Amino acid sequence: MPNDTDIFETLRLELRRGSLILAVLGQLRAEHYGYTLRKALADAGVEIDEGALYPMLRRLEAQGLLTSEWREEERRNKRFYRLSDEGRAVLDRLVDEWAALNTSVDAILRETK
Amino acid sequence: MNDLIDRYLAAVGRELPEKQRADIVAELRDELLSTIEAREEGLGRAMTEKELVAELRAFGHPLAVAGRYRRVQHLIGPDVFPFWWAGLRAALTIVTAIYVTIFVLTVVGAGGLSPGLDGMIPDLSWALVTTFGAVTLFCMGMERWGKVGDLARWSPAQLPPAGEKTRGRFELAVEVIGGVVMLAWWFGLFRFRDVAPSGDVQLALAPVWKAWFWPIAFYFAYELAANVVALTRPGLVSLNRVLQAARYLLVAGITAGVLQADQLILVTVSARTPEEALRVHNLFETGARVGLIAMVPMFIWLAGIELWRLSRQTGQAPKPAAAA
Repeated sequence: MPNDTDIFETLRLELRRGSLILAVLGQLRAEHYGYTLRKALADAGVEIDEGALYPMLRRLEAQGLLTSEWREEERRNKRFYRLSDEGRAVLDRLVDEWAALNTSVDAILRETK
Repeated sequence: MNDLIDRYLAAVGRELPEKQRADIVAELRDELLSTIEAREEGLGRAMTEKELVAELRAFGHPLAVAGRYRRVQHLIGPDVFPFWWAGLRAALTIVTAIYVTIFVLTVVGAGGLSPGLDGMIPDLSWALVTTFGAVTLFCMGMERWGKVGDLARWSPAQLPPAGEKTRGRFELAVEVIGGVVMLAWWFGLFRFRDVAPSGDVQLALAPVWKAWFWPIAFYFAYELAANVVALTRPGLVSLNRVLQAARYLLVAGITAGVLQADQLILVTVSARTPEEALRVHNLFETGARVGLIAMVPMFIWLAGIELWRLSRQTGQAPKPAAAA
């Protein structure tokens, strides 16, 4: 039977899952390759493991929200990602949605405190 | 050191689609080397082999790492899962009902099933595993190529009314299979074991049953069809009630017709006196007649109940519409 910690951890992961895409898209307003993207997100307080990040980047690129190119940097080939025009438009809409949801949930939580 | 990384990335690469393999592996190599360099910078020395092994293990099992790039991440997703579960329960119920029927037939049948037929029937465990596989494969296909809407086409009006006592799926499945057996028996494809209490008494159906052969054959076919409808369309409550009521009336009518005959059963008794033979004959004849006489009002009563329920149901139907 799951204990309170397991339940909290499961709910925490569910809560974070949707917002990770928003954080990744937001961070890619500036160009990054995988490793620096992960570091930048971690520095901002959003931890994401590489096993989840790289397939997500591929998926977002396949959906046309990101563009990427291979370039040499620090003596190694790296794949740089950046938000596409379509990605920027989708991100703007998602940010509005996020803000509205945040306001609503905040209001509910304040009322029930 | 690099050998371990190469082996790890090769293992990941083997699980990736060929078109994307080189690209993904190159990106993962950069991620791994960047992580290792950062760790070594923090440590102020090169990583040991043990530390590298721990780093690769933390990166993930090659199958898991490669698996995250696959388009298909599950065989049956949450949308199809409820249909897979319901379909599986229904299919396993039907298969179990078939095996229960086969078991009963081997007990009451004359010598059981024919060897040819017997050889065609797999073990129950094999049949259950095959059913599980078939339902799962079908739902995997729906998950991948179909539309969940195809599985989920429904209307609230087709659902059985709340609180209605309906026959269970297993009961209906057994009745359907029983219907097939009765039809096979009536057309002479299957013979029941002789139910006479002793070896010197033989029972056979009187000529009246031959005269009623086709109405009774029609009844068995009708009963089978009505049960199939009830099993596959439980939401068509009114239709099922009408079919059921008609079925009861058919039994009552046919039974009343058969009862017009003077003789229902032919009893052959060997090695007895004529008086004793007559007594045995009368015993079976009276028993059969009393049983059939009791069936007529009972089935008319059952038909009446179905029709009464139908009228109540039809009378209640407009209420929600009026309220709306």
